[in-house]
Amino acid sequence: MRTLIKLSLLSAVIFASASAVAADLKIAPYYSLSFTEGITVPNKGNWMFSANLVNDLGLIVQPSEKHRIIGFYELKYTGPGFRKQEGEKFSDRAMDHIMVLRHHYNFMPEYTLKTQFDYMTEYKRTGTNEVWGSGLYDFNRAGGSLGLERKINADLKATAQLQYHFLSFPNYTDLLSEFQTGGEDAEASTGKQNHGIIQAGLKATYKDINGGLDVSMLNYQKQKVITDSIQADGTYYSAELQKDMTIAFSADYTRKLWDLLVLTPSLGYKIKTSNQNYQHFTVATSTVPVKYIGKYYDYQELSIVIPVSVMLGSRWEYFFNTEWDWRFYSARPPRDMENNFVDGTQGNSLMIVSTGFTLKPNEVTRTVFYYGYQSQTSNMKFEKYLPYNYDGHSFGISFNYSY
Amino acid sequence: MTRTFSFGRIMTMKKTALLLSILISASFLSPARAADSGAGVPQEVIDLGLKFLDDPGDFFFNLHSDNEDFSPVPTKRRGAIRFNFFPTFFPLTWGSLNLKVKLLNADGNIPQVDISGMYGDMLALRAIPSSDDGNSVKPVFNDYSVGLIISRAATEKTKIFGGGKYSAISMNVQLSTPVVMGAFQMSSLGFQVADTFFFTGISHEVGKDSFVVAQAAYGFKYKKIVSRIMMSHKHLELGMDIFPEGLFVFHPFLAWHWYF
Repeated sequence: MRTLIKLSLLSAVIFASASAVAADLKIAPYYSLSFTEGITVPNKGNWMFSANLVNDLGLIVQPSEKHRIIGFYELKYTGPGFRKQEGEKFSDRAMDHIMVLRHHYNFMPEYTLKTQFDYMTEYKRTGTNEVWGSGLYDFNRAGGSLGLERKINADLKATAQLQYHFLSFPNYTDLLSEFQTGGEDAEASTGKQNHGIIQAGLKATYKDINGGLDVSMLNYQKQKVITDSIQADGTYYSAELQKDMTIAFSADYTRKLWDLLVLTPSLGYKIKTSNQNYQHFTVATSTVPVKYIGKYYDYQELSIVIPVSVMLGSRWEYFFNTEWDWRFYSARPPRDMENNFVDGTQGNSLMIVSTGFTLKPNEVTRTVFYYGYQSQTSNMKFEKYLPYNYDGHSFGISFNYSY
Repeated sequence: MTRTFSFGRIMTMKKTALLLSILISASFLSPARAADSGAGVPQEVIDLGLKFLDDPGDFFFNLHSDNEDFSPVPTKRRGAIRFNFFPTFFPLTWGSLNLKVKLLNADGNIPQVDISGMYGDMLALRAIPSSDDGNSVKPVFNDYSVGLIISRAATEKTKIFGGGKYSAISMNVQLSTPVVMGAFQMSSLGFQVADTFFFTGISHEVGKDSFVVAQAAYGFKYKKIVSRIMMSHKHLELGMDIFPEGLFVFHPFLAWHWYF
């Protein structure tokens, strides 16, 4: 009850202060609620209901022509369903709380300084026996960014941005390491996923074309790099800390034809490198690795997305989106169905086709009826824990209410 | 050994069995009975039954949420009384009244503030008489919510609102016939669920006394998400409550309200 009183007071203060300053400031609230419910039918495993929910509440305040402050809170739930690329099971689910405070300062006619502070908590459930808030991969992310935008002329503008975020995983522990050291390393293995991310980016916009380059560096606080030989402490971890780097290029183009058809093709290319290596154990209970593979996590990824939408009068819209995604590992060999490494390097190919209709019955409501087909193929054939080769269908309905 | 039953005891058992049937039927697909019937039951239905037995409190809390109304009072009204018909009063005989009253009119810089409260009771439980021998436990059922709604007009027709609410339900019923599902056995239905929620939403007027309402709430204790999409007319409310992690994700509901 005390929490309720505090909440009510907080809400009153937020709304009242927002209202109080409304007479002098330009102020605009923003709200959006999207809910998607569908059925996902893979060719392997059980069909499942998938549910996603995104709830945004925001406020845009413009105290003067030069300053604009944007604050918003987002609650996001991602339920079971198909995933992009590998790393998650279809049944995984996550809940995110995101808070953002952004300030734009137009200090010269051509220049805008953009600062942002943000905080995020993600709760993750990898199984139905996990309680929200106790997930192994729950994390908190805190950080901010500083960006400078320059309008070079009426058609061209460029932005440079620098970000720093720190991710902490309060519940994470290295289960394999604990097992191998008989639990003696349990305390030392907590926080192994904690890392900081430094990201530098450049973005340019020319008319309807956007292009960007982002470089991200992940520095792990405690996670050591695995070596090919046993160390003095009895483990395979060296003294070197893990460092990952991602370089990403992206470009997109928006083209409207006859006020009827909108095309927004985009292209993305990503290079990921890591100093982390891999020791392979045949079964989870094994303490003796059978194979060492360096650069196991390095890969390159290419993605192409072609969304097309066609207006059908003022209330209906038809859309047809196609997405391809290819990932090629530099040194990771694929495995056969029995978990044995085979020659070559692992490659995954993903295709997603989605189509449907959007209905806009009034200013705030959008309803989407969709069908999607997703197909992933890989030369990785060991699928005891994660799916690599599958195709499946999904269809459902999505509601969006926003102002 | 010979056991004797008083008439009241037999009536209690019959009515408790009836109540149990109603409660289990409330899960729409009657998973527990379906699973008892043996082979041929789809795995999904068995999973639903097990999920219900694992946490019946969550399922009843979701039904309790169907009875609530935490949308703002329309600008030209002082308040509203709401009665939820489906899926609580029918088929569960779970009656409820939600009263919301405008405390503060929006005026210039001041937002509109409403207070809302709900009280519910399951009538079938009241029909179970106390036994003469004193062996049975009188069923206990508590169901209420209270909260504040603060809203601000974004346009002439659109309001954005938010607030907080305290929402609670508790139940304690001894089942005369235990529900058995594999290794699970439930001989009583007892739970107490209470949480404080923060909620936000949007209300858009589409006609005289007709509104499209969408809202989402987050409970701090159980990290529970509850969302509602609703079409509200002069008296009739039709909508869906959405519980992404619930036994049933969608709860279609039908309610009746009176503005004053």
